[in-house]
Amino acid sequence: MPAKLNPAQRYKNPAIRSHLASQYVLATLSNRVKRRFETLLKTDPELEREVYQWQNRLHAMNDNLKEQSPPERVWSELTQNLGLSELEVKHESWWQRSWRSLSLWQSATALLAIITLSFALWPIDPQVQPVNYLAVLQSDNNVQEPELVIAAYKGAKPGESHLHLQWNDRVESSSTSNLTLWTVSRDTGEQVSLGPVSTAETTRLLTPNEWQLVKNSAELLLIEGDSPDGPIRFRGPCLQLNPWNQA
Amino acid sequence: MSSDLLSSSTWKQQVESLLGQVRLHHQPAFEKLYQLTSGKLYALILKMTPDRELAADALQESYTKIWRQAERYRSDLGEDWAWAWMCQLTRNTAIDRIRQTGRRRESPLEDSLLDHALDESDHWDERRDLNRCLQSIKPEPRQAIMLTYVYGFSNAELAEKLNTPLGTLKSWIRRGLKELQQCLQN
Repeated sequence: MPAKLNPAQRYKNPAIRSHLASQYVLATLSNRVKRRFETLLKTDPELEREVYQWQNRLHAMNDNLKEQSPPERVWSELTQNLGLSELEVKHESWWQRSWRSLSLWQSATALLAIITLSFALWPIDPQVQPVNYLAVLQSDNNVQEPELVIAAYKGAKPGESHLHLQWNDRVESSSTSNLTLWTVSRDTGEQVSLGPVSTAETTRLLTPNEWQLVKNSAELLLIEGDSPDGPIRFRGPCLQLNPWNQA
Repeated sequence: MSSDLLSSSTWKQQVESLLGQVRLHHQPAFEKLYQLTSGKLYALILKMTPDRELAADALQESYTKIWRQAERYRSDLGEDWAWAWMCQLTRNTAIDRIRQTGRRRESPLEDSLLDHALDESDHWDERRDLNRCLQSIKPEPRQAIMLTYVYGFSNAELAEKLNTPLGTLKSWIRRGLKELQQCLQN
């Protein structure tokens, strides 16, 4: 009788991995197993490749579908919920869009600028941890440059990770006295507060839970007051700079 | 433009390119992606539920996830994955909602489904390959796989619908997928 595999061994077995990936693509896993599998997917690129291969094999079954127009309310609610209601861009030059639209070249240029800025602000030193996550925040004021950058550094041990906030000296900085920093989950869209932003202007240590919030965030927001419904003063996508296994 | 008027590779390249821009939160690209794909994804959901309101809600939730999770899409895994990734995300979202509410479509059984899916005149290569391989496996596993994939049935739901023991159904699916994998690799 074969020895019973523990969970870690089980997920390394190629036959079991392929079976789970196929069942995931068919959507026949139980909720519990599906959740566990999705957690594993986030840290196992090869398992993701298995899923991709199964998707590739089966999804042609859906290609024959005759298109059906969705109700108009889907798009209007979508843009509202995602804060894209100002999106009327059909007749507007893309280069005229504000930073927040993050068009392709703007993002690339900005990222380059920000990485350069990061190196300038935090000189390379073997004792200094590299930036793991970076959020380039912008207000709605149509300014041409990002107004501030929030960098997240992973510490050597849980609880030693930290955030650093830096204003762009070339634009007029705003008062942060009443601003709160929020993460927006990329999975659920849930906003979670990391507290008043003034505490992050030097070094703000993150608890392991707060680190996970930053790591899993689609964007960071600076909101006036301490309510998630308050006016958003600055926002920007949270970018991962280090490879997945180091972040 | 309807996807029928574009070749599959051109259409999928468009989806791939737009999703790449959506990863950078490029809003006009998101709008174009919606225009290009929402009709197909809505139809995909309506295969699984007759409830158009529920389908619209699931579609909206799916695009919300596409916007927020686009960074997770890995273009390095292979060509044409963008569309498969969007279909998978939409299926999972819709299935979760349908299972919560029980608003399941009373699906036809195999015949009409096969007529629809196994179209010999199909000009999309990958569909032709899949059709050929589906036809090469035994009827029971083929039926189980297709009903599960297209209509989103859980194993238990399908076992009941086909009046078959759950273990037998799981075995059909496992065996069928293995045969399908071998056939497609050849």
